[in-house]
Amino acid sequence: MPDFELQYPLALLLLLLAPLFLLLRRRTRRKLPFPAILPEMAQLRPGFWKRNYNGILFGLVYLCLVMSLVNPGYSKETVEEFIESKWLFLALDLSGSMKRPVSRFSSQTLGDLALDGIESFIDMRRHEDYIGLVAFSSYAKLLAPLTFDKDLLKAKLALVRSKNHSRIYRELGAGGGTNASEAVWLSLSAFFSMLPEDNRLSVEQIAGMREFLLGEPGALLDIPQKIRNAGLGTGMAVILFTDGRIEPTLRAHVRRGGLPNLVNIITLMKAVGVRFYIISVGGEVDAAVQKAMEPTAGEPSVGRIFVTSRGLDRQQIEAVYREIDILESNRNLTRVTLQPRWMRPSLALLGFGLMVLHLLLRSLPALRKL
Amino acid sequence: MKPPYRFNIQLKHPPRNDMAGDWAGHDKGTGYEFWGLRKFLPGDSWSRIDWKARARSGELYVREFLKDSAYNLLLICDVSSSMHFGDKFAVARDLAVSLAHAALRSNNPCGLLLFADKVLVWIPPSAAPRQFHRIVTALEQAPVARSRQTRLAPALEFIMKRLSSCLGVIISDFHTDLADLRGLMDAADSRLPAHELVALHVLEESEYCLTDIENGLLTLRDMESGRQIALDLSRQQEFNTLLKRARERTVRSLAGAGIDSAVLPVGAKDIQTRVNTLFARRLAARV
Repeated sequence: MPDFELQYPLALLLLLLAPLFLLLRRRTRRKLPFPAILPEMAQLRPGFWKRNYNGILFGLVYLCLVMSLVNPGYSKETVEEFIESKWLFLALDLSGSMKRPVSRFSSQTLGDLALDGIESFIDMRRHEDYIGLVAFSSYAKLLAPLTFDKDLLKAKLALVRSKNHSRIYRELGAGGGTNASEAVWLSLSAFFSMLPEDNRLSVEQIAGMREFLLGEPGALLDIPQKIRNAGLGTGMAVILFTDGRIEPTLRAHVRRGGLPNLVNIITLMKAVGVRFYIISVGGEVDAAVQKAMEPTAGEPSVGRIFVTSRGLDRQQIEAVYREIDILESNRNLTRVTLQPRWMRPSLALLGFGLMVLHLLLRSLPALRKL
Repeated sequence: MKPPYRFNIQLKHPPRNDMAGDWAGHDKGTGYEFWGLRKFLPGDSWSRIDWKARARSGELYVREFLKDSAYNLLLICDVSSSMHFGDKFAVARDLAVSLAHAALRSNNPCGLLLFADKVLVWIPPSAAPRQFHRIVTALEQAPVARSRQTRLAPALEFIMKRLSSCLGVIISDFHTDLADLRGLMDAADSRLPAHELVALHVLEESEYCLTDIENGLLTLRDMESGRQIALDLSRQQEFNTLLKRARERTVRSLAGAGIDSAVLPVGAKDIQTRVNTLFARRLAARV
């Protein structure tokens, strides 16, 4: 809608009839015949307002009613300043290797250390950020969907601490694999499910897209138009923590099938703009994955791989998460909204208000017409 | 038609008619023919006391005279649109009929002139037996003038040309410009004017005073010119003062032209007294 618009501009022609109505009113006004009007009577004429309030109010009421027929409209521009809300998914490797103690003298496992780092990262983030949790080993499990409830997130993290011996911890720890691609895909699926209803993908569409991800790397990805329209990816990131070897699951794909290729997923994330951070303990990242993570010419980087040594400590993990926190800092955004505003109700209300005012004024002793 | 009022028409000046005094009237009044003496009554003029009779009898006596006769009474009646406001014209007609009756009863010729912006009807003065009927008929069939204004001067010029002398009684509301009247009457201004004129202002109450009217805005339309004006009745007092001053100015203008006036509100009960008082007052002011 442009800044100003008339819905029925031809109704403006009714304004041309206004002088005719005013003339008719003047003609039909009640007049008392009097034998003689003396020139001196001119000094007893009422003031401008008393003499003309009738015509002025009639004109205004007529104008309001005609304009309410014309129905002018304008766009109201609303500018909102707000802090960007980041959508972050933390994928934590809980395979058996994560159960090894940090040192000979410590009862704390590497998984616990990773959980401490995640907790401190959660505390770093703003209240407006949506954070979700995925734990994975041979398969991936959604611990918490995207939520801003930090207490809930911490409670979910407590479930997978070694000292708690929860069922989830035992189940995940039993698996020996490092199925990072499934975890990342689960995170992406969670993002898709959080899209607005108009742009939300159906289960069939998600399954169809998954089919593409199962193929060989380099296959042309068919990204549904809904996701393109939704502007997915802005402010979204997946943070993967693992101590296993990160590979495109090519072997698993060949052997069992049904697992998405991580390179394909990274390509998809590049296409839709979701950031991807890998924290690799021990630095076992496949060359194909590293290559997929590298930015191509003219395109922004999809994310970063943080490689840490196997002798990991809490400071190191927190330093990595601080760096990710800086990289994923919330931006100050400005949202400009144009809202169409039609003036018919206001004008009609104003017209009726003026009519009522006219009636009230006419009933006043000083202004009534005899 | 029976006249509603009984008027005692008296001239201020002796009539300048060749035959004036040749006919004695039936009534006593101003004149030169001695009638007799009567005892002094309150209200009688001191100038009419007969001091010789006082010396003889020790009581106050006044002289009475036969009323002068043979004057021409001319009724100059306004029939403009403004005279049809309220009951003004009915009162004017009653006045004219009564005056005609009073004159004709004394064997004085009486005529009628109806005017608006010009002379509309002219009945020359006559003392014929049918004159009263003619006048009454003319008044009943008076045309409704469609003129946009009232002009007195053409009617008076007409009279000056047609009659050598007369007692003219102008019955009107005098909503007219009287500026040209003074020049007209100056020509006849003398110690003993040939044309004596008397003005009877027939007015509705609202023409000289607004009372019992609510506060508000009122639009008036001039019945003759059609001019409109809106009035703020919160200033009613000013309006009444203005009307009063305008009427006083009209009376002064007429007096300046040698025309004495009496204001006769339509609803007044004492119209007869007011007219007779006017004639008596004129007589008292006789030089």
